[in-house]
Amino acid sequence: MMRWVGLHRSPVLPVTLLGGLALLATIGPVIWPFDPLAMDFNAPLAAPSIAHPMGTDAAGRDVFARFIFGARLSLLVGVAVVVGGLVVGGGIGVLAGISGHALDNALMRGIDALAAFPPLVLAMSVTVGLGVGLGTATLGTMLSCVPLYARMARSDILRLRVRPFVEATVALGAGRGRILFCHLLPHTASTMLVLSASEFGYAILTIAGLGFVGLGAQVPQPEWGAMITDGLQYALTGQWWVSLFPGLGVMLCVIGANLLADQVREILDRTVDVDGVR
Amino acid sequence: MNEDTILEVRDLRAEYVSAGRRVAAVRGVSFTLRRGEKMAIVGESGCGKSTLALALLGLLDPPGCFVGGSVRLNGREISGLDDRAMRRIRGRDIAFIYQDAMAALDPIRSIGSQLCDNIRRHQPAVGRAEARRRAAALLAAVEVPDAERRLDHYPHQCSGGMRQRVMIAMALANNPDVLVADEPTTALDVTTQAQVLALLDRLTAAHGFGIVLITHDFSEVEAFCDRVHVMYAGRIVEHGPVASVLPHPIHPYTQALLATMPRPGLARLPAIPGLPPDLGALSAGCAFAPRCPVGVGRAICTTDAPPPGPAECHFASELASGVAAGSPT
Amino acid sequence: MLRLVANRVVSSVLSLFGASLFSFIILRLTPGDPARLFLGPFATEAAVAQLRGKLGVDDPIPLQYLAYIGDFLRGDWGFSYTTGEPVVRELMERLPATLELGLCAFAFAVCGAVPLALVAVHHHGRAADRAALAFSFFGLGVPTFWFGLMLLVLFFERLGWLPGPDGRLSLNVAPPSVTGLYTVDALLAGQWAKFLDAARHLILPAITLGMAPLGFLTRLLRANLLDIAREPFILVARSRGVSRWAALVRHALPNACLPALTAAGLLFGQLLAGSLLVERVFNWPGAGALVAEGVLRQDFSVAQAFILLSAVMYVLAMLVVDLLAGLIDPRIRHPMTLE
Repeated sequence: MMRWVGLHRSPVLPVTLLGGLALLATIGPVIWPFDPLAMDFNAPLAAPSIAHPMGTDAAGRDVFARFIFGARLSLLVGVAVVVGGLVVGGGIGVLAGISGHALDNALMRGIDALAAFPPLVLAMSVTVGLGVGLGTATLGTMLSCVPLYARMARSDILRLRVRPFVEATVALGAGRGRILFCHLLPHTASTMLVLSASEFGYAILTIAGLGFVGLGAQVPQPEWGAMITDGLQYALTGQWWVSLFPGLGVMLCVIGANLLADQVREILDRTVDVDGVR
Repeated sequence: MNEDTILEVRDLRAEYVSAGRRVAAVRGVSFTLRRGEKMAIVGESGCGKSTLALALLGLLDPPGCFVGGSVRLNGREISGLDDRAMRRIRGRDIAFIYQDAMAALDPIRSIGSQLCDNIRRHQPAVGRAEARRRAAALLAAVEVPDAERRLDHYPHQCSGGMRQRVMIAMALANNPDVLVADEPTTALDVTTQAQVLALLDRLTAAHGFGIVLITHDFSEVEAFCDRVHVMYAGRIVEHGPVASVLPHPIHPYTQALLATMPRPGLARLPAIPGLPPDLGALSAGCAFAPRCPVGVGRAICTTDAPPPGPAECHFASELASGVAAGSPT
Repeated sequence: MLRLVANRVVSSVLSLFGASLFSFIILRLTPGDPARLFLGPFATEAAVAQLRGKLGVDDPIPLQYLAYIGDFLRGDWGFSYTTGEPVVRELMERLPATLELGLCAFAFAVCGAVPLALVAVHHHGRAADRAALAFSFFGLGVPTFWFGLMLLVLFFERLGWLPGPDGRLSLNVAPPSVTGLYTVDALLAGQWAKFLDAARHLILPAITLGMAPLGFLTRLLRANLLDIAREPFILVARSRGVSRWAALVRHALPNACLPALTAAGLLFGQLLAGSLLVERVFNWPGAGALVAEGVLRQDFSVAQAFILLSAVMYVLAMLVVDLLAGLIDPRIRHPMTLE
């Protein structure tokens, strides 16, 4: 706690944002027990009211219930993308970093091929190739995160490899595995953490974007991006709530994630010593 | 006030706000500089010399802050002036040379363009062609060979000594009255150091400006300066002509500092025991007391601030007479 | 210098090769028989078989890949399943619209980021700085398509100040085509009313598309400026009488822009992909909208071409930017020549 004193912006804001959304996602269905898929053609496009705090969509579905489930989907998908990217991308990066010239080159060429695609396009191509749906969208987004993770992990490892403490550890007789897991990886943990926080936000944005184009979650899944599309045609005729709330959700999630990434970086920077090692 | 006096500083005070504490970096510094005079301010790192330089120029930005005192340039008070007024003075009447010339020059602009910029800022009537001519003349004056061609070079294409000369040229572009040089030779090798100092010597004689040389190197002071001011913990603890202070230092700190200068025949380099004081937590007495061999066991050193004078020590007269009697340090 | 260029070019070519390979693999996984998809469910077996032969679907994979690359380079990007037109023609027809939007968005981002960053640094630590930062976080976090929609709701539906999502012009006739960019063409033809109309239609989409780059560039420039403002040469410049603001603008900014240039170039390369979403919201008849429609209608040839085209543009943008950075930085242009 003491380390937070003196930070430019306290982490209260991102933690509240993300924590609040996560809380909503987990206990939401309990406190607001409405079925997000239940259609009610008696009350389509109803404005926000006590009965429906976020109104209803064209099929009469309660937007708030869909919002809660959308939160769940987005947060889970975000975590999945980040974990996948970290494991695959980070793994490749670390491998490239500790290997010899040939393997390093080969791996990084592959990463460059992936990186040649603008991220959304990469995710798109995967869903187009493998079939649309939230699963493939998640996979595609994860793939688009891999290059960044790989490059950062590799550059961290390369930088750490030449530090005296590694030589010293080798001189003490430690094996390669031990050096890797006990000494190198912990030092990359901080960069990976910061990266993950911002990639989390990016993942949610991309998934929503894919949902918007119809490549992610499919109707009637309550994913925020798809919900925005649902409301597209009604937004300009006065029924603004169908699209507003899911978009707000995405925005709060992403801003929260970016702020968190910033905070984590600032906290970790304070533990950097003279040489730049944590 | 002497007509010859170009810079008169009285009781200059400046401090930093660091982690919530107020740290007094300059605690009442006074000195006078005359036309053509070369004075040195000597001290260890952290004694406040650089803060002093910045305070003179009015460049102390937060977290630093100018607290009080008077700075008179050619009789005119400049310490309280606002930034706009100071901008006219900086670079024209008082100039600054930084220790690391590579870091002091804009890396993506040519030397000529930086020089011309400088000239035309304070002499707006000068046209481009004329400015370029003067820039080349300035480079020639600081003994840069092939000056005309050098104007189109970039800082990274010059050697360290060359860059330092360029900095000097820039400082002198508008014929200032005072030149404040913050450790100008620290980043240079010994031979180049000597060359740059010799150049400054010639320039001072030719143009008659005064130099405030900030340094930690007594050999430079000995070779180059007329007067020396020894700074410790934000105060000038001893000052006087180089010819008398260096051979016969009075203040214990000056003595200790001089003793650490490498000399032939010295088997081991003595170090001053203890560490420089924490400027945020100074006690009432003499700041040097914890490290002073003279003050051991003498209560007055820790309770009372020493009286001002050429050597700020409670036992100055005692030491002075001891010095006069020829006793070694 | 030449070595640098050669190095980067080789690197780019390799990236493109890898990207094309990846694109090929992924798209060969597309479910369904491309011939049947193209001809529709009522086509005869014979016709399908013939098309399969023509498309080379049953050839060995390496051969297919070579054919794929060869076709792409020759400009034969297949035919759209839905319209039957050659994809390359359709994309090229729509490209100027996307380009115009992209350029405006980019200009908005750059022209916004520079003053925002300067003001933020000049008032570092105070309200203006915080506001600029908050704004950039917003820009980076807001989903573009949603933001565009909300802008429309506010400025079109509620306030009626700006045109709605009806494409590039309200009056249906485009100005005589010189560049394909309506604003430029209208100016060239002296059609002032058309110019204004086209410009008004550009405002909201450009702001929408440019929001994220604006946020990103502001943060980047601000960070760079802060770093550079701490360097001695800024202090020394001020010691010569330069004001704080002038030192920022004339000395710190050019130095800060160098690393930001690379980022800016990358952003531009990504604008093509980003326009995908924005064009849908505003009914902008650009290449992105074409692809989005195509994807929804399972018109994979369009998607294929777009994917590879995006990769090419992205890699090219990176190459251009790297080379530009090399040209502008005198430290790279004139390597040390100590005498």
